[in-house]
Amino acid sequence: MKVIQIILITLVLTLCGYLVQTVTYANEYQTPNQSSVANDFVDFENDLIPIFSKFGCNAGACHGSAAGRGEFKLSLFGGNPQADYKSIVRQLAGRRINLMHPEQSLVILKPTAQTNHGGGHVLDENGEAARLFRNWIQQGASYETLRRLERVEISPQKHVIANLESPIQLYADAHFSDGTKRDVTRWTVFTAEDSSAIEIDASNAIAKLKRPGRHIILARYLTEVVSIELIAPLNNAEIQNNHRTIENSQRTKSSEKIIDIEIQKLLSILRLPFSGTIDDATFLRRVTLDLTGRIPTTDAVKAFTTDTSRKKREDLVDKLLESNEFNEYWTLQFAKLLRIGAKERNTQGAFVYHEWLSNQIREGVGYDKIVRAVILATGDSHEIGPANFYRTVDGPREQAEFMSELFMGVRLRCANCHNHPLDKWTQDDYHGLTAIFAKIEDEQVIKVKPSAEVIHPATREKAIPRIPGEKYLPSDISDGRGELVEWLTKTDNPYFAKAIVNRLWKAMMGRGLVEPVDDFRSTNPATHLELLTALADDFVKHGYEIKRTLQLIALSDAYARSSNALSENRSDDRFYSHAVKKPLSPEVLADAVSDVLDVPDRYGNEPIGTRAISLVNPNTESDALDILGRCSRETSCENSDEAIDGLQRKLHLFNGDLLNARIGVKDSRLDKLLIQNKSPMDIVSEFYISALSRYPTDDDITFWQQHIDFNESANSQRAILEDLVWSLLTCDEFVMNH
Amino acid sequence: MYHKEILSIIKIIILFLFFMPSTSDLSANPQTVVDFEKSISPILQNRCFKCHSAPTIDVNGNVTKPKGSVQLDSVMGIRESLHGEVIVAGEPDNSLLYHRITLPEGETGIMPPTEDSTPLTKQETDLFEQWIKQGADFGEWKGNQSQRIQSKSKRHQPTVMSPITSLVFSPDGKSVIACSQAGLHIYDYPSLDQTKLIEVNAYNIHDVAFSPNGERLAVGGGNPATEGIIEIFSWIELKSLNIFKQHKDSVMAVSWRDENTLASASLDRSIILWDLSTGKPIKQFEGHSRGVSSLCFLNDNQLLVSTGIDQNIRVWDLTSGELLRSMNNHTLPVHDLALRPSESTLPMLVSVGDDKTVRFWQPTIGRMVKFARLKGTPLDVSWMHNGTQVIAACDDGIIRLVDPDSVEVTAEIQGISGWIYALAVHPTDGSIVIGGENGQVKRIIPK
Repeated sequence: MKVIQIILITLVLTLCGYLVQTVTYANEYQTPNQSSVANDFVDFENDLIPIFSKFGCNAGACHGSAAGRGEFKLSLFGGNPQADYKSIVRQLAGRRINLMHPEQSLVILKPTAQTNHGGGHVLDENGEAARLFRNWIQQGASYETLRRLERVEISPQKHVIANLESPIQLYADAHFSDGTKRDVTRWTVFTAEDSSAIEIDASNAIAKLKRPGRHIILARYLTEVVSIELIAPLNNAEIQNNHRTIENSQRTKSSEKIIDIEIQKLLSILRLPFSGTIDDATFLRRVTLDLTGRIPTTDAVKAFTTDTSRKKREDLVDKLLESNEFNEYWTLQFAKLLRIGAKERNTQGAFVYHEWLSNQIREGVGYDKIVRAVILATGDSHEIGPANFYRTVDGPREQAEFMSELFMGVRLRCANCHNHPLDKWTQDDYHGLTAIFAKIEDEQVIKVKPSAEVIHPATREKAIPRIPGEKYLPSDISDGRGELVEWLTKTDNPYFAKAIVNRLWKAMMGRGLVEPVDDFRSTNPATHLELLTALADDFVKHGYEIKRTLQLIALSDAYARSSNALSENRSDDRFYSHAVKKPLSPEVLADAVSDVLDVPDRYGNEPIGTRAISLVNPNTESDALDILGRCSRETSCENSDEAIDGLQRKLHLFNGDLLNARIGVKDSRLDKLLIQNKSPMDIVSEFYISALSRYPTDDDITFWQQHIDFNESANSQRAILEDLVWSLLTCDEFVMNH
Repeated sequence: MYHKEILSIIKIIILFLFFMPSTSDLSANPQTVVDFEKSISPILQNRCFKCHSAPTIDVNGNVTKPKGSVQLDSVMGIRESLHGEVIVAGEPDNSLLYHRITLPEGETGIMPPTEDSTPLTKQETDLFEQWIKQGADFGEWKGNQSQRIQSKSKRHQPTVMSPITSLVFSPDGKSVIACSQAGLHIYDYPSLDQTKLIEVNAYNIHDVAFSPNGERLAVGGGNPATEGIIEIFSWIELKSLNIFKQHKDSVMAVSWRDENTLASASLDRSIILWDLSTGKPIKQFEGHSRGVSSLCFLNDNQLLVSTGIDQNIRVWDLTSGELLRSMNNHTLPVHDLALRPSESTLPMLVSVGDDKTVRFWQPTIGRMVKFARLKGTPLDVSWMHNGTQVIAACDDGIIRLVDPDSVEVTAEIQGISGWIYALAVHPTDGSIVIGGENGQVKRIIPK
C-alpha cells in the first residue's frame, strides 16, 4: 500500500513538474526584452569601441597611451578599430576573450573589477556595457560589421538660450551606411571646450551654461568628433546696433559688405552692442601700422586730419597698399611665416630667399604662385631663393609638419604616433606626407632622391606617399610634390585659402577667426565660419592676391571700430564688438622708437639707418630686438604675442638704455627742436603727433602746462621734455596699435 | 532549468521524508567510516547547494555568486572558500561548516538559515562531526570541478571555437594533443578526428608538453590576471594527477627537464622550476621585465633559455639560478624559441617574434648568428627533426619554411584561414600539424 502511494505521489509530482516547466519556458520565450538583448548582433566597431571611449579606457592616460597600460594597448579614442580587435581577440593567444565561457573573458573581468584592475571598477557587471561585451563574445567575437558610421548628428547644433539657468538636453544620433539611425547619446562623450563655462552631466547628457557667451561642446562618438555651439546672450536687453555706417558706405557690392554683415549678425544674437567708429587720426595710425609697419609721419597726420574728401580712408588704404613700405613690411610678415633665416649658418641662403620673397611681394605675385614656387623648388639653395624652403627645418617629418601648419593651417603632429584624436588626420596621412618630403634631399643643393623612404611606425613598412586626407600616390612615385601642390592650390582646396586669409585677418584684427591660426580642425570652429569661407572664396576669385583681402578688411566698419570697450561689451574678446588692441611687434616697435626719437638704432654690421623690419637675418645683433622679444624663427613665430607683451619688455622700456640713452642725444628730434628754439608746448605737440599720431587734447595740454616752467627757456626744460618723450614712448597708446 | 532543479529538490525532499524512519544506515556510528558520497554529499546537495554553489549566470548575463563566498559544490570550492576554514580535516570544532550547522535554532548565522529552512537533524550533524574527525576524506568525489560559472540558461554553444594555442604529437605519433580554452583535444592521427575533449582546471590553456618518457602531459595555463595553473595528466588515461599553482598570471609555456622537474613561464614575468614530487618550486627566475612566452633547456639541461614580451632572450644557469646573459636583437615581443635537434656543434636556437623575423642564435656564446625577415608575423616555430629546416607558423595563415644556413624562405604553404598559433612536427613521417583561429587543426605535408 505504502509503495503504491509513493509511486503515485512521485508520478503526480513529476507530471506537475513538466507542466510548470513548459509554462516557464513559454514565458521566457515570450519576453521580448530578454530575447532581443540576447539576439541583437553586437558589432565590434560600432557597439563596443564607443564603450571604450565613453568610459575612458582608450584615453591617453590609460590603454590609449602610446605604450598602452598594463601591457594592453588600445588605439587612442578608438582611432584604429582593427588594431583594437587584434589586441583583444588575437594577441597573447586570444587570452583576453573566452569563447567557451564569455563571462570569464578578461576584457569583462577587468573593467568590472572581478579581477584586479589598475583602472578600478569601471563597468557594472550587470550593466549594458558588460552585457554587450558578453553577447559579442557569445556570438563569436567577430569583426564583422553590418554598417559603417557615416556621420553623427548632435542636436542641438547651435542653440541660443534666453535663460542661463535652462538646462540643455544633448542628443547624438549616429547615421549608418545601411540607412539606419541610432540614438547613441549614452555612448557619446560630451566635453566642454571650456569647463568653467559649461557643466555637462555625463549620466544624462544635460548641459548647463555657467556663464553667458558663445561656448563650444565637443561630442565624440567612435571616430567622429563634432562640435556644437551654445550661446547665451551677454546682455539681457535686445540691442539696436547702428547700421547706418554700413548703409552709408560707398561700397555697395555685397561681397564687400560680407565682413560687417556676418559680424553684425553674431553681435545681434549675443546682444552685444558695438563700440563707436574711430576718428581719422586713429584710423590713420591703425591702418598705417597694419599695412606698412610704421607709425604715420607728422606730415601724414596733419594732412589726413585736414583732408575733407569723403573717400579719404579708401584713398589712404589704396595709397598704403601701393607703397614701398607695404612691400617691405609684408616681406617681413611672410619671411616670419616662412621662417627665413631659421638656420643661422645658412646666411647666404637666407639672403637669396629674402630677396626672392621681396620681389614676389613687390610684383604682387599671387600667393598660390609663391607657395607653388617654394614647394616645387630644387637647385642650389645659395642661388635659388625658394629652395631654402627645404632648409628651414630638419628632416621629412618636420618638413611635413611645417608645410601643413603653414599652408593648411593644421597641426598634423599628433598623427605621427596615433590617429589625430580631435580631427580626421591619420597616421597614414602624416607618414604619407612625410614620404613625399623624404624624397627631397635637403643639402645645399635641393634635389629629388627617388630611392629615399620613411618607415610607417604602425606597419613598420615603408610609408606610402599620400596627400593628407585625400589620396595615396603611387608608392613608386619619385617626386610627389607636383601632385601635392596641384591639390593644395586647387580653387576648392578646403584649407589653403582659409589658412592664409585667417592669418591676414589676424594681422589686421588682432585675433584669427580660427585661433590659433595654425590649428584648423572641426573641433576648433571659426567664430564666424561664413565670413571665413566668404573671405577665402573672395581671395581665390581675386587671384590669391593678399592686397585684395587686406583692403576688404581695412575698409570694413569692423576694422574702424574703436578699441574702447563699452561696459556691455567689455568681456568680448572675439566677436569684434570693439577693436582688439595689438601690441606692436618687436621690429615695428623698434623702428617706431627710432622714428619718434629720430635716432637710428644699430643692427649688427648693417649700415646706420637700416630699419628693423628690413633685416634679413632674424638673429642680427641687436639689444633692442632682444629686449622687445623678437622671434628667432627657429620655431614658428605665430602665437608669440605673450613674449612681446611681457613684463621684461615693459621693464626694459621703462628703465633700460633703449630709450634713456637715446632720448636727448645730439641730432635727436628733441635736440633739433630745442636747437630750433621751439616753444615747450610746440615740442609737446610735435611729440604727440609723431608718437601718438594725434594732437594733444585739452587735458594733455593742461597737464604739461602745469609741469613746464614758462619763465625758463625751452633748453633749460630739457629734463622735463625728456620725461615727456619717455612717457609718450612707454605709454600703452604708443606701444599698442589701438 | 531553474524550476526543474527546484522541483527535483522538492521531489527529493519529499521522498526523503517518506524514507526517513527507515534510514538507519544514515545514522552516525563511531565505528564505521563515514562515506562522503553516500552520507555527506546528499545532505550538502539538499540543504546547502541552493545558496552555496558555483556562480551562475542567467540569460540576461546576470551573475549569481555563492553566498558569503562559500562554495560547497566542489572539493576545490570547499577547500578554497574562506581560506580553507570551512572544513578543517580532523577538527570539527575549527570547521566553520560544523560550527554553523550546530548553532541553536534561531541563532544568527545558523545554517541552513532558520527563515528558509529547518535545522539539520542531530543525526545529520553527527555524521558531519564523524566525517571531519575521520579526516574529511572526499573519496573519489570532486564535485563541480570546473569552478566555472554555470549557465542557468541553455549551455552556451559557441559559434566560433577558441583558438588552438599549442599542439603536440603523442610519442607513438598516433595522436595529436591540442589545447584551447575548451580543454585538451585529443585527435586521431592522421585523420585528425577529435576523439576526446578533456576539461582542464583553467580557463585559458597555452601550452602542452610530454614528459621525457612520454607517460605524462603537462598543461600550462591559468585564469588570466589571477593565477597560473599547471596540471599534469597521465597518458593515455588522461587522468588529472596534480595541479601546481604559484604563478600570479597565466602560464604561457611548460618545459620538462626530466621526469621530476619542470619549468614554467608565466605572464607574471617569472619562471619557476618545479620539483614534481613535492609540488614545490625549486627555483624562481626573475629578470624578464614583461611576460615570459617561451622556454627551452639546453646543455644537458644545465642552462635554461627564456624569452618573452620584453624582446630579450635570456640565458639562465640552472644550478646557480643566475642570469648569464640577455640577447636583445629582437625589436618587438618574441613568441617562441626552439632548439636545433643536433648535438654535433654549438647549440643553436631559433626565435620568432612580432618584428616578423626568424633569428638564429648561439646562446652559449651569446651571439645572434643570422636572421630572416618574413612577410607575416610568426607566432610559433619548430625544427624539422633532422635540423635542416625551420618551420614558422604565421598570423596570415601561412607556414613558412626557412633554411637555417642561407636564411632564405624556401617554401610558403597556405595552412588555415587566420592566425596559426601552434604547430607540431610528426616524430617520423615529416608531416606538420598546425592549429589556430576558430579551433582549426590541419595536417600539412611539405614537399
